[in-house]
Amino acid sequence: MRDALDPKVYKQLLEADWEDIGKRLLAFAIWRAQMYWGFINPETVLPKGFGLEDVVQKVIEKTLRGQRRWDPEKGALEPWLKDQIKSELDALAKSWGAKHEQPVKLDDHGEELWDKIAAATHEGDKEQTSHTANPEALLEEKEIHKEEELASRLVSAVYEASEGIPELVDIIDAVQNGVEFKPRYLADELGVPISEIYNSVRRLRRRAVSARKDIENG
Amino acid sequence: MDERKYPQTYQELAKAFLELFDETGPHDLEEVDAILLEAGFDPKEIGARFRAMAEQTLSISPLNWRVSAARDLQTERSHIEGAGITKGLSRDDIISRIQGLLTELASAPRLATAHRNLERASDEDLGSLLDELEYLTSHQRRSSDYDEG
Repeated sequence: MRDALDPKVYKQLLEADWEDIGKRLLAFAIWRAQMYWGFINPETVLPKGFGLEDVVQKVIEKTLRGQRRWDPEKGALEPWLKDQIKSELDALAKSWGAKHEQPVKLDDHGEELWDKIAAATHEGDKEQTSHTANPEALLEEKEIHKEEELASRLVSAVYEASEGIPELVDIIDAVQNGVEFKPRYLADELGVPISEIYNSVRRLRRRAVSARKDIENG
Repeated sequence: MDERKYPQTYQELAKAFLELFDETGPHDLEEVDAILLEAGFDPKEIGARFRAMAEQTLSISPLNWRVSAARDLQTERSHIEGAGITKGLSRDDIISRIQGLLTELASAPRLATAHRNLERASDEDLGSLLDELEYLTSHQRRSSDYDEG
């Protein structure tokens, strides 16, 4: 029975509390997704037409089908699942366009592909673009540009969130100075209790999400 | 703490902030429910949906040994039937072979008990039973060989 999982692993998956795990994963996904897209609700459509619940469902299904293999030797199930969700959300955030754009079809040649590149990059008329550029290289360049743009927006929101609040500025400075991004290391660096760091980070995040919402809503 | 790694790009800095925020994410169920509610999700409905989806997926998952065993059995059955193991055997021969295999599968007393009344079984049922037992014993033998190897 080569396809069958180690019975012990399968048993653990079978006995896991998926009602509890599912809720925790969705809450985690919301927590993360708010930094990318600001406003999240059940009707929010992410890039590629996914909803947030779809993302979580996909991760769980792939795990239970064995398409993604959790190895208990390497750690507990829930943290592993959260890492999978991070990967999915990061990939969606980097994918072409924001929530209202359609993804460009690479196998479409002709009008649609050139129109979208020209419109998105404002590179002049279609005729010139089609004779001088490799479409895939252009798209790759656009993807990299979009990743940087996304990162820059996120960082800007965090900076904005800290303005005028010294304890939040201290946290940002510490992260920029290479302090490992865990509350206990920040507490050591800044000489404050972990509980204070925890509260400050949450406050920073809340304000940054609010700033992201403002950006997304124009 | 290891040697410091200063973020060199916006992407590295963004990643650092995201990871830091994740560290302070929801932990207890009360917080989880609060986040779900705030975002417009119904925690009870969501939980029930995920549970039902997981149960459904597990029941048909290739990881489920019953599913993969059924598939393997189907494959083996086609091989066994193709080989014509039961062809040419008398009813008594088939019963005798079944009893021999049941003895070999001594670790499966449930099987032995369930198939005590072989005399009453139809020829077709006996043929199917022999196929299944041949499959199970060959699998058991392969597993033993693997363990010894």
